[in-house]
Amino acid sequence: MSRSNRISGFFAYGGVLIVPVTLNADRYLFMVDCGAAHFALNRRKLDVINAEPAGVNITIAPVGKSLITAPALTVRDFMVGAQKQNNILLAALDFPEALSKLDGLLGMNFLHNYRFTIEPDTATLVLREIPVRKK
Amino acid sequence: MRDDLKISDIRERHKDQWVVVEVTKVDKHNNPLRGCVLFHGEDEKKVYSQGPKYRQTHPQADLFYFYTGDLIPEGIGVMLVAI
Repeated sequence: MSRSNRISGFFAYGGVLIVPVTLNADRYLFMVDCGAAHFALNRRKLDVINAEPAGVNITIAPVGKSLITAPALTVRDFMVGAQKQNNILLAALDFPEALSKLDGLLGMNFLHNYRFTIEPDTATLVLREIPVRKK
Repeated sequence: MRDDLKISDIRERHKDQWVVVEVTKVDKHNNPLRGCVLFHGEDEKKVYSQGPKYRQTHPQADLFYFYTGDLIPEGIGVMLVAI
């Protein structure tokens, strides 16, 4: 049986799951977004969140808008629950004013490393290790 | 001496405020369970800017920054993507 990590969150309006994530040793609240390829960080948080410019841009295709380009940042240490990844790329974006209290989006560049499940009854994100297949 | 509170109690005590909390207890999955409120208030920049200063003198502190009210206002259907 694969090991799993259970990240306790809560549902915000509309049923979206919010979970705590750790960026360079500080915890924030991100929305789980399996429709997003990358992490996104609310640009308003840049004063506090310790992220370094990655020197590249990420092209974003927001729903209902034309393509935009955002500067990519690198976060040295990133954790969700007990699952740690290093040197994660994220896009710093201007979130709509109505979403200014949201710190960021947890995208597929993290989630794709796990078998992930959202439990609607417990507001929990479950991350299971992907077993190595024998050839 | 700061009160050591459940995260849910912090949300109630400091409703609709920005808080910086030093986490004092986590579960086996590293979920924050309890903490002490270091800074709180309605001005995000003012509250959050205190966190990095605190870290300078407490480098091992486990700090949790969050807003205690609704992160997504009622009536807003979120469809954000970053492709």
